[in-house]
Amino acid sequence: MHRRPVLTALAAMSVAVVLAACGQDGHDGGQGGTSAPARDGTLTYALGDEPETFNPGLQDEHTDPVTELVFRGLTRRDADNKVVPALAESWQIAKDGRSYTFRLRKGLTWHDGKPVTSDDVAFTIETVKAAGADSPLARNFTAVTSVTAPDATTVRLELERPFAPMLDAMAMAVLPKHVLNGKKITDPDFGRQPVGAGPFRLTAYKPGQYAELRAFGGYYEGAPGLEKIIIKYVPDDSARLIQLANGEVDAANLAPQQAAKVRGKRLEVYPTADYRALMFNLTNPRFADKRVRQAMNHAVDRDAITESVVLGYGTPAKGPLDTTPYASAPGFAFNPARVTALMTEAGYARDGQGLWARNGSTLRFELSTFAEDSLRVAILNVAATQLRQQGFDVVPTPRPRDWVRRHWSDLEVFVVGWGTPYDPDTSVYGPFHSSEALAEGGSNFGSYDNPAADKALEDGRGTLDPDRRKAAYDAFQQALQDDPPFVWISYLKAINAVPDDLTGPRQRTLGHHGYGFFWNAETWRYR
Amino acid sequence: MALPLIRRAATALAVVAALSVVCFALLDAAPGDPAASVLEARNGGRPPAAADVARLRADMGLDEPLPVRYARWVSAAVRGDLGTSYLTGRPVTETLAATAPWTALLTAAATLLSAAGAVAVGLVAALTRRAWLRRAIDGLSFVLGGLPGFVAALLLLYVFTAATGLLPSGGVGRPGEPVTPYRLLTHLVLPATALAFGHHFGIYVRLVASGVGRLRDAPHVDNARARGLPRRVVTTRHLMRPGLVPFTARLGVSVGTLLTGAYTTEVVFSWPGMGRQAIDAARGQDYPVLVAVVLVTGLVVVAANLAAELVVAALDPRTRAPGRPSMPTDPHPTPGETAHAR
Repeated sequence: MHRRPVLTALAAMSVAVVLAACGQDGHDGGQGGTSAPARDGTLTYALGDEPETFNPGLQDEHTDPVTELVFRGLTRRDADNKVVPALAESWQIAKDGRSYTFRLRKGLTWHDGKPVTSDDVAFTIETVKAAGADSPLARNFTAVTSVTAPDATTVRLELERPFAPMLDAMAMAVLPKHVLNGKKITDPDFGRQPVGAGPFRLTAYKPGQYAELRAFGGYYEGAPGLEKIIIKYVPDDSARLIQLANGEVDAANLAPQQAAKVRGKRLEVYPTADYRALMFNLTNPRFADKRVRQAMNHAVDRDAITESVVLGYGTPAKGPLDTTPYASAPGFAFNPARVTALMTEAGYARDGQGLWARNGSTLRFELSTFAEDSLRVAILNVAATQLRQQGFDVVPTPRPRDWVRRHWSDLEVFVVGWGTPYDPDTSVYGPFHSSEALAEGGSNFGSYDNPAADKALEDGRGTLDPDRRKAAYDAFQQALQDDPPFVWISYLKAINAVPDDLTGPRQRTLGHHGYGFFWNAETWRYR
Repeated sequence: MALPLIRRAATALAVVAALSVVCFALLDAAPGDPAASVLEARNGGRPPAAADVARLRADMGLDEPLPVRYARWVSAAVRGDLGTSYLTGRPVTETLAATAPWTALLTAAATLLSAAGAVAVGLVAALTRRAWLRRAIDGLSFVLGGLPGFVAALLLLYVFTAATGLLPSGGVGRPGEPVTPYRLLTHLVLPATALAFGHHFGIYVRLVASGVGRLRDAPHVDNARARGLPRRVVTTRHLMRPGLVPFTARLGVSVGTLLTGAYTTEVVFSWPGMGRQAIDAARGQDYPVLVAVVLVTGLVVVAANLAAELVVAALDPRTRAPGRPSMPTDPHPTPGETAHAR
């Protein structure tokens, strides 16, 4: 047989593959798991979510790492999520809480070298307020009646009523007027080539691949410790872990089941304000009796869920403010005897199958969530099993996201995710105040209506006195304990792997998806 | 030859036009509201208020009847404007220009690798007198034929990156550094291999093996050998040329499946092509991007079929005969006929 051409072709192909494999220049991986990656003051971080835009005016208070590093606000939050000065060096608040005067630092510059002035601040607030539904931050400025810039470093805000979260809201990035003037806030170019006053400037962005940030020498606290941060977008969980092991990235955001597999890196495990809970649709008469909702809270073993679903990378939830300085919710213990007592009190009895029933019908309801969200589906399945064991006739039914969008008002019980680590008003007013009910177009999707909670929420946003605020949110959490809108399940933790010799990352309670990990990245450096 | 070619090109255009209508109609009928998706993306995933959705729908022109929207799209599309992405606000053509070349590179490399490998292995199977080798190749093609692309991708990733660290696991280069041809090649090897040796490969090997194998002892081949033609000439002219017709026809047809395979491969290997674009667009209901990706895919499939027909025509003279404008309905020529046609 004449086999030579065939063999030659095969040999050529294998040679090509082997050549490609062996001729690595060391930068593209190939160093095995533990050796140090290329440095030069560069940190490459793999992240799953890529935002549509780096325009902070189009993001809510949880900003993606790039936006967080490029921009700064008048204020920012420290390690305890307390408001501290940023672009503003100081401020005064009128006694009646209706007037704020901010003084900007001197010599602030944008990444393009232009000075940051009070005009930029006034422009930002006016633009965001006017954006309405286009900007999720607009809701923070509904009480603002006027913004003035009496001189280049002074900004004055007048409010029609006191609004306690105002200082926290001013952590919103200041936008450059000279770049955005005359354009819509949704301007797509700005979202791709953002100009900010933060510690890093965006020097390259390849959609679907990575964003490259370089240290900004003109940053008001001085140049940051790292020269370059590269955020690499790697949507596949396993691929992120492989790239970390392979040395293609220095750091990565990880899922709980991956944390144990990391070698040669330091894990930074931070709490978040991001909780999961089962939300009742309170327009449904079956849930009108609060004893039924209390019983279901006692029927769930949240320690077991936290252990089995997030492998311990979470904490059992008691209420909506557990990971904030305002935490005071007593919470519910897993207690089958209490379930029986409360359900009996509410007029239910176990039927032949052991299910709670009244007037011949069981307490049957659909427990649903977004089918695309594997974590929520896992919670749904475990919670449904536990509730069924305690006699609740649960029908676990994950639904496509799109179906849910059109059926919010038809849902019965739904696995929700909420929570921000910042001002408590931002976190709880929307989901729990009756004026924000679904029918009113708000984000109180369960149509929760509790006058005691409403009053506490109004007190909490209406007073600037720290003690009175604390008392208001204590009262709020107690109101939720008495009349629970949710079955509280678990807070998630954020897991990030970083190089052993990277100093600076510091624990703070993060937002959803672990956003906020880069909150102090200007202080990070290699040892 | 010119007239049938024009006719085929016209048919191809009609197919693409029909595809655009179907695509528009299907997306319109699909459940969901792009305006709600956009607002949800801006709100960190929180569901938007109905009034805001309604306002944005009006802004996006989504309240107009389907024929009006389609007519507007067509009149812009013929001028090279495919609209703007709902999610990013950027022109769709810009997005396509950034992603389509990467998909083209990956698909072309995979096709080349797959075709070359299948011809090589298929020829061995067809020509060897060793039964065990033939059976081994049969078995291999059977296994590869049943191996889903994403499984192949994960296996390769495990062997070449996670276990040995020989190759980069994803992307097209080290972020922030220039993409050199050499570096690009090292990043291309794994995704192209995963895509090339997915299930098409097994089918290709079988088509080559059976196409050539059935000619091996055909009278015209024996005749050629008897005439004392060099072995190489017998193999290329009398065995490969007619024997590869069914494989070539299939290669053109499967470019479409290869492209869709590329889309999942791209996600696993962080390859910045149209696939990830398509998946993101589908998730976020970014219809302008989705329509464009579907149409580009359609265009490529139609073009690949056209090209395959031309190659088949070059290989097999019968398809060039007047009154036979398209491929033979039976793509497996019987040895006797081929001998006669020559």
